[in-house]
Amino acid sequence: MTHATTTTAAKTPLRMGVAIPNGKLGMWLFLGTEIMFFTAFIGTYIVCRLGSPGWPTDTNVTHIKIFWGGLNTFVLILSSYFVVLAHEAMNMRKFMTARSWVIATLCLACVFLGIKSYEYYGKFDHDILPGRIPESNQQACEKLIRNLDLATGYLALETDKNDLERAIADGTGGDSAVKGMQEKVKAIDAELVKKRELRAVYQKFADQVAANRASTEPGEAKAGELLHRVGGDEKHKTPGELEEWKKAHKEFAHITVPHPILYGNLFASTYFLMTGFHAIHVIVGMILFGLVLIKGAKIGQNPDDAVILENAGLYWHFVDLVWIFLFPLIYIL
Amino acid sequence: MSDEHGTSHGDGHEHHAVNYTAIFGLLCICTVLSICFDLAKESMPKAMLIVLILGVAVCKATFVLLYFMHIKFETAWKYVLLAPTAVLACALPFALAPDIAFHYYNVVVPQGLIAAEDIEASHAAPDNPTAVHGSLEHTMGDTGPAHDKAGADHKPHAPADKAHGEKPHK
Repeated sequence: MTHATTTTAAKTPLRMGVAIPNGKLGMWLFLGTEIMFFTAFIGTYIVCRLGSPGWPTDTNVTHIKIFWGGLNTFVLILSSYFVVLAHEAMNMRKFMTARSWVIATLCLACVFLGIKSYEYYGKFDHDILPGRIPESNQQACEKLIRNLDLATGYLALETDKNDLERAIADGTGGDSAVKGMQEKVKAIDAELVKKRELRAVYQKFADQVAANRASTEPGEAKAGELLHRVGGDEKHKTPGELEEWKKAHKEFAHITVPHPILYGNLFASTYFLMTGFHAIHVIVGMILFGLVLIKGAKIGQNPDDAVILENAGLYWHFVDLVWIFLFPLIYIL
Repeated sequence: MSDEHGTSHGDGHEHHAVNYTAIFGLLCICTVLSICFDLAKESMPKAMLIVLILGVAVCKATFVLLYFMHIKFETAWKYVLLAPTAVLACALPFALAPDIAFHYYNVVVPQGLIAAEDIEASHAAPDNPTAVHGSLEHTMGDTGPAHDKAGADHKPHAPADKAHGEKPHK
């Protein structure tokens, strides 16, 4: 018995701590912090959503694409499967097979990011962005005026003029520079006259919205009527004032009527926070796999390669794990 | 499905015979189930949908953790590491929920007031064109912000935006 114990001790050197490689222990400790990192976001999302009656869930409003989210779930699960196959191959010392599975995983990661980019494009295209979504009729009216102002170029000119006037008042750059700036201000003034003519098209609407805002009475009903009048009755396809402006001025051709989305900004903030950080983790996972692939044909020559691949795999499975919860919480419920 | 008898390679790595293909199949089935529940969500109570969808998600997470991440085959250190993490992870939502999500008082936010007025108005006149989208009572057809493409080419918020920027405080 004593002899057997001595032999075993000689084979496996004594070591302190947990009986797993240090790298793996480090990765698990890191994943522990990552769990808290993501549960903070997910928990905040759940709490905010529960505290906001009327949270937007209609996919026509939020532009959430369930099919693409589901496809991304499948892509991540498949990539996780490939990672375990790579790890298995590494353990069986089939290094080139392991390398192939890692390359396949990287390809799937690219597919995931491609689909996510497509979803993000839809959000940007429809201005479903934090701080950009009107939540009431009054805000929708004000956003419409802002869009019209941007289309005329009126706002940009006004800003330029203000900047120049400030610089002239400060005497920036000396007398010659001030003279040049004064010339520019004159040119801007001439341009603004033309822009004001264009602004006159919707000036009445802008004045009414401003009066609504200044009113001490709740202006929501009035703002709703204004928005309806300008936007037209889309249900019955009656053209509103905006359609007439569009026909008369090509500058307004791309303008559409913003629709209020209750709690839309909070929705957009939490959506981009969670999916954005998840996408960053996908990119980091790709870099970890890249560290394995960078060894090329020499993969497996160093025993640490197996540990690096195992750690990259653990990280990748965690990324998959997070998406497993994000998909139902954001896309389905 | 799995063989818990590990074989050591002598380098500290335990090899476990797990049928990963079967686990992958189960994960795919769970994903399809989630989609099916989504398609059937109109015909079931919201609470049931939440339980089913999150139940499937927990099952998927368990499969990934146990077999793909090999937690099933690890020694007791996994409890030491993951138990405090799980407790701390739950702390934030549980701490915030009573104040933000489950309060006894009415929170007065502009969005809430508008929603209340709007819901009343829509009950009085179903064709009310001023309805705010996003509330449970309102669904949107093909006239939503899909047509609001004007903001796609917005510049970052310029100082002049403040003239229009009276956002309600949440």
